[in-house]
Amino acid sequence: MDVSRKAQRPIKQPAGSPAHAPVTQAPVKTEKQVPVSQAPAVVEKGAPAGVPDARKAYAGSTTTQTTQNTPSVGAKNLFLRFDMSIGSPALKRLAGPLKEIARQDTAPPPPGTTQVKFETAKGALIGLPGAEVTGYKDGKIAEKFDATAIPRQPNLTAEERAWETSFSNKFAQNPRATVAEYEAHVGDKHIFEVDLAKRCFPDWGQASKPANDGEKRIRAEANTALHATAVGIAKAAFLKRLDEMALMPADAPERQVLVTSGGCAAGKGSLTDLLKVNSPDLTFGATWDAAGEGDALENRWILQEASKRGIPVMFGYVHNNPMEQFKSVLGRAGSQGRMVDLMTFTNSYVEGARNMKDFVASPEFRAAREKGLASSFSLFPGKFNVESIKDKTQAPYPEMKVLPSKDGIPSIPPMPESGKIMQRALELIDEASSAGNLPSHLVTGALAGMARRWPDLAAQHVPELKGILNGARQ
Amino acid sequence: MKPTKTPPAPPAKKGPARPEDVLKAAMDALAMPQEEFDARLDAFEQERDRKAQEALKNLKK
Repeated sequence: MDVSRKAQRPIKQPAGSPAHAPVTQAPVKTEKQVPVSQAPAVVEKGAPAGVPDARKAYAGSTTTQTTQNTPSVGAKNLFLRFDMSIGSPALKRLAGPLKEIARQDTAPPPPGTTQVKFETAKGALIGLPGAEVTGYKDGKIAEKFDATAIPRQPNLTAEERAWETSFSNKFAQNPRATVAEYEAHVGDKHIFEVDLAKRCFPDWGQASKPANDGEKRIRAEANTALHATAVGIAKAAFLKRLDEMALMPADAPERQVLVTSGGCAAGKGSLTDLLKVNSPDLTFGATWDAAGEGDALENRWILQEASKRGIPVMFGYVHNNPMEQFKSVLGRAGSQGRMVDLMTFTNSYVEGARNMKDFVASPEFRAAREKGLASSFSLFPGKFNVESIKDKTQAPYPEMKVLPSKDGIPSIPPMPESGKIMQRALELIDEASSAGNLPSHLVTGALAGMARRWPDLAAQHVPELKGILNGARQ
Repeated sequence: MKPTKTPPAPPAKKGPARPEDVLKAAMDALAMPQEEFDARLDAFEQERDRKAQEALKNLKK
C-alpha cells in the first residue's frame, strides 16, 4: 500500500487528548480588532517562515506525547485563565506562520460584487448561500450570466483573488460548457460533489491526485477562493439532473435523490465514500454529496427543488468527532492535495450539526416526510480501532451505531464548542509540521482562515490569537 | 421421462432504496478492513477519472 493511502488512516489518539464529550456552548467574546487589511503591506508571499518544508505526505503519527494538558471539568475556569495568559503550546509554536500569513497583502474583490458572509443558519463561511443558484434560469442552464452574481471571499491575497475572479468569469461567460465539463467528471453514477467542480479550474488538475507541485499548491491554498463558483456549477448541474429525473416513470427506482451530510473529513468519515465502495445495488438518480463547508445549509433548497418535481429525497448524516477528524483532513491533503481551512472545518461540524438538526425538525421536512417525499437517518461510526490494521479479526469501528430516530426524525448529537475544536486542530497541525510531515503550502492552507480571512471571528473562539495577530502588525 | 428444466427465476424488481438499505451498505463499508476499503475507493476514483478523461476528449471534438 502506498503512503498516501496510509495517510487517510486515523492515527493513534495521543494520551490525554480531549475526549469527545458534548460541552456547553460558552458565551462568545466579542472584541474589537483592527481589520487585517490595515496590516502593513509586505511583498513576500508563499511559504511562511519557521515551517519545515518537508516534501512528505502527512502519514499520521503514533506519538504518545501530550501537547496540551487536558483540564478536568472542575478545573475548567482555572484552565481558561491559565490558557489565555500564556497561550496553548501549539498556538505558540505556530505563531510564526500565523503572523506571516496575517501580514500578507490583500486585494479587493471586483466592483459590483457582494461578499460571502457567515451568518448562523443562513450562510456558511465560504460558498454560495443555501438557496442561491447561478447559471441556471427558467428551467435550463443559462447561456451566460453576470459574474458579479457569485459572492466573493473577504481578505484574499492578490493571487487568490485572481484565482477566484478567473474561475467565476469562466463559469459566467459559458455556463453550458462549464457544466458539461463538470458532468464529465461526475460520471454515470451522478454523484454531485462540489469539490469535483474545482477540476473545471484548469490549474487545479483533472485527477483525484495532484499531478505536479503547481496542482499541489493550488489545491492547498485555493480551496476557499474557488469554492463559491464550484458550488454554483454543482448546483446548476444538479438542477439539470433533477429536470431529467422528473421525466422518469413514477415507479422508476432511480427516481430518488440521496443527500449526504456531515463535517469535513475523508475516507470512512464520509457517507458518500462509504457508498462508493459498497453500494452496487443502491440506485439513486442523483446523490448530492454536500461539502462539509456548506454547513448543511443546502438541505432546504434541495428538498424544495426535488419536491417541486415530485422526487423523494433521503437525507443521510454521519456524526463524527471533530476533535479527531482534522487528522483525516491532513491525511487527505497529503494524498489528494486539497486542504480545508481549519475554520471552515470547525464550522462544518458546529454549524453543520446545528443546521442539520434544525432542518430535520422543521415543518418543511416533516410535511415532506408525511407525503413520502423525504426521509432521514444518522449514523455514528465511533472511534477507529487502530489494532484492526494489524489484526484483521478485530472490527475497525466497534462502536458504530445507527443513531436513534423518533417519529422518523433522527437525533443529531451536539458538538464541542468551536474554540476547543480549533485548538485541537492547531495541535494536530503543529504535531505534523514539527515532525516535518506538513509542507508549508499545506500549513498556509490550514491557517489562512484564522490568520487573514476571518481573524475577528477566529479570535472570538481562540482569544489568545488576538495578541499574536496584533503583534504581526507591529 | 425427461426431467423438466426449471426456468430461472426472473430478476427481482428493484424498488427504491430505503434508509435501512443505505445504512446497511454504509455499516458494511465501515466493517471492511482499512486496506480493502482504501483499495476499493482508489479503484472507484481511478475508474471515474478514466471515464472523465474520455468524456472530456469527446467534449473537445
